[in-house]
Formats: sequence, C-alpha cells, structure tokens
Amino acid sequence: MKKMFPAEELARDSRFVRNRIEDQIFDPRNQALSQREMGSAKLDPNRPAAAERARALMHGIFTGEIQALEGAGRTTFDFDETQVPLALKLDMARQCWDESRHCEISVKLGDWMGSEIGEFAEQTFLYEAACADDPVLRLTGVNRALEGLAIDVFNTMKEFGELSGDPVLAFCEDWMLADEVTHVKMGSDWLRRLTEDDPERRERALEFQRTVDKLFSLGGFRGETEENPVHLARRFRELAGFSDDELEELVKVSEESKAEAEAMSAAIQQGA
Amino acid sequence: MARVSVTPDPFVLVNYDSGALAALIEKVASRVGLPDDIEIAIEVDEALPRPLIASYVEIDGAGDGPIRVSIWCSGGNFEHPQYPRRFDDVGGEIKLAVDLLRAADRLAPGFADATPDAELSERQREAWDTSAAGRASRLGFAVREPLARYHFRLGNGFGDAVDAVYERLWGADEITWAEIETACVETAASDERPTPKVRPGTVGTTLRR
Ligand SMILES: [Fe+2]
Ligand SMILES: [Fe+2]
Repeated sequence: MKKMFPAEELARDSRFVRNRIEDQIFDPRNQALSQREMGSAKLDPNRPAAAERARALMHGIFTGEIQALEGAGRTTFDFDETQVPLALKLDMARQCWDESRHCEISVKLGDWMGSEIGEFAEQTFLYEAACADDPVLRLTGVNRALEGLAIDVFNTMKEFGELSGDPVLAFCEDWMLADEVTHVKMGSDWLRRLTEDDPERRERALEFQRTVDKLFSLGGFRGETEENPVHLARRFRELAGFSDDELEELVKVSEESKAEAEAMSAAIQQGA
Repeated sequence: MARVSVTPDPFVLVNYDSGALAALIEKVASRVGLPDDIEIAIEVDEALPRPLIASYVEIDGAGDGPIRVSIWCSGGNFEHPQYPRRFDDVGGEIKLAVDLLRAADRLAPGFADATPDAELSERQREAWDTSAAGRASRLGFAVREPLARYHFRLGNGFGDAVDAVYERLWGADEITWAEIETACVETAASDERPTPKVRPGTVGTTLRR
C-alpha cells in the first residue's frame, strides 16, 4: 500500500465534484460584493438566505469529516514507530473512529436539512494539510488549525440550531463539538511532547499552523465581529490547549487575512 | 407564448446566457399555466452568488394594457452548486416554477389582498413557497421535497404542529391568501423559539439594492 497518498487520488464516487480555492479567490463577483453594504454575515437564522447558508456550510463540514478521517487514517499508516510513538498512532486511530461517526452524523444531518451527498463542490485543502512529511506539521495544520476551526464552526452552528429551535442540528453539532475538542487537544499535547527538545521543529510546525489558519480565515470567515460568519469559540479552544496569546493571534490573523483578500481582489480587478 | 425580457443582457460576472434564460422562462410560464399574452421582465443581480438566494415577484399593469410580471432575483438563484458561476438548469427551472406559480396566484382573485413580496414575513414567504413547490412537484418539476420541508421548518418552527401545516400547504392544489395567513397564524401559535423569526423586508434591505 502506498505511503503519502496524494489528494488527487482520494476515492470519491460520481456524486462528488472538486473545485479549487483559486476559483473562489479569482471570482469576479468578489469585487462587486466588497463594495456593497451586505449587513451582518454572522450565521444567524434571522439573516437572509439563512437556510441556504447553513446547508452549504454543513455540506462543507461533511466533506471535511471525510477528509479528516482520511488524514488521520494516513497518519496511522504513513509513519513507523521510529518516526512517531505508537501512542500517537493509537490517538489517530481513535480519531478515525470519531471522524467516521461524524461522517455518518453529517449524512443524516444533510438528509434532515434537505441536502444531497455531493450537492456542493468539495475542496480538499484539509486533506492536503494532512499530507505534510513531518507528522508534527500534520498535528498543527490539521488538528490544531483545521479542527480548531471545526470547533468554531460547530459552536456557531449549535447556536444556530438553538436559536432556530432545530433540535437535530443543535444535538448533532454538540456531539461532534465534544469530539473535536479532544482532537485539537491531541494536536496541542503531541506538539508539546514531540518538540520538547527541538524548538526549531516546534517553530516550523507553528508556522505551518499559522499558514493554514490564515488560509482558512480567508476573507474574514472566522473572527469575532458581525462581519464574520463563524465566531471564535474561546472557551472550547481553551479546553483544547490554546493559550490566551494564541487566541489573540487568531483574531489578528483573521483581520489580516480579510484585509489581504480585499487587496487581492482589488488588484485582480484592476489588472483585468 | 409569454414575452420575456432579461436584464442584464449579456451577463458579465457569471456564465449565464440571457437568451437561454428567456427561453426557459417562456417554457416554465406555459407549464405553470400563465396566460400566453403576458409580459415577464426578470432582473438578475448577477453579483449575488450562492448561497445568497432571494427573489421577488410583482405584478404591474393589471389595468388596460398587458399584464406584466416583474421578477427580481439574485444570481445565486440560478447558480450551479458544484460549479461556481455556471447556470444550473435543473435548480433554475424549479426556482422559476415556484416564482411563476406565485405570479399566477397573484393574478387570481383569492390573492387580491396579498402582501407585496418585499413586505412578506419569512413565515408568509415560506408558507407560500411551500404551497407553490408542492404544486410544481405535481406538475412534474423536479422539486426536492425534503429541501422545501427544511426551508419551511426554519421559517416556521420545528415540531408536529408546524409539520401538519406544512403537509396541508404542500398537498393543496388550490390556495388563497387567506389560507396562507391562517397557516401562519397556526405556526406562530406553536412557535416557542427564543427569537421567533420576524425579518419582514430584511432580504430587501440587505440583498436587494
Ligand atoms: Fe470531525
Ligand atoms: Fe476531528
């Protein structure tokens, strides 16, 4: 069996279509939209088109769950015990169990919300972050950055379920949220342990985490204002091993990323 | 055959074809039973992508001249969920069927007192859309019933009483504005959510310019 499995070869049936983050960045509508007063972007049942926003986001989470399963599975397999402790592989195996449950929950939740499997395009950056050669980078890029984002999304959507009186959504999100906190904590714990005597490796891993965090804060997706669809779940992140400084940094990354996305979009329009 | 005009022509931000959209509207208008001598003007705000889906239907010139249906909608209404900026033939046809059935409703005496689209509460709009979607489904349009149900529940509440109203609206082949209002009174009475949905006009203030 092949080690270091590339994202292009992930198994998907004909229902799934993949698109690239570049398509989003170079979408000519971005510029027009950035010049409009669109009101609050927070995912709230009282916002316009709330049902469609929620469905699209939850389908994105569903494909993220598939990739989280694939990523954790690869990490149990790609490294031998001279490269990572057996206990880390066991943690990843445990995560596979959780992620496969999340896939099933997401499929049922999709049914509940009237969505179909593969209805929305899939982007594979979560799995791509799980292709790093260094297992510590996988733990920061996937477990700390992307599953940290999952904490924020699940918490936001749990509130959405509570506000809209949707018991199924609220429960599903709560169940998955509980697991994600442990996955992020695995990332925090193993980062600390594996890099205890190697500050350079730790810095490289944290740098990778920052890069991934920034990519996913693109256009201010996650933050703490009304302009951010998804809000930072501070308490759950603390439980998952994030320090106060790290939380402040995330808010900053989100603001920077939004400013950069706007500048990029303006530059593309001027060049066009 | 209805006379259809599409704005913009051509589309520049999305890969939609104005002529193809006009042809689709003609076809759907005839299938939902709108009169042949009607004029339909549609304005698509192509900057608004999925998932920002919104539409308004109005009737003008109900006096001497030809009846004119005006539709405003976001480009997201017709956008393919898997391929950004591409026209979604299946989804687009369903959206048009629902909007044009509501236009046909507005021409009927039973809807003489109906609130204008821009002033409908979410509850009213979802109730009316549900009724139109049920009829569109029986006319052979590929409406996804679970999706209609989710929209109705999000707008009206989650619970057995709300579901019973949904079934009634979905299954009715004829409907009046008074019946839609009654349905909304019933769902409001059983709505125990912390922030019951109000939002009249919020689609208008934040999506439509
Ligand atoms: Fe998960
Ligand atoms: Fe996870």
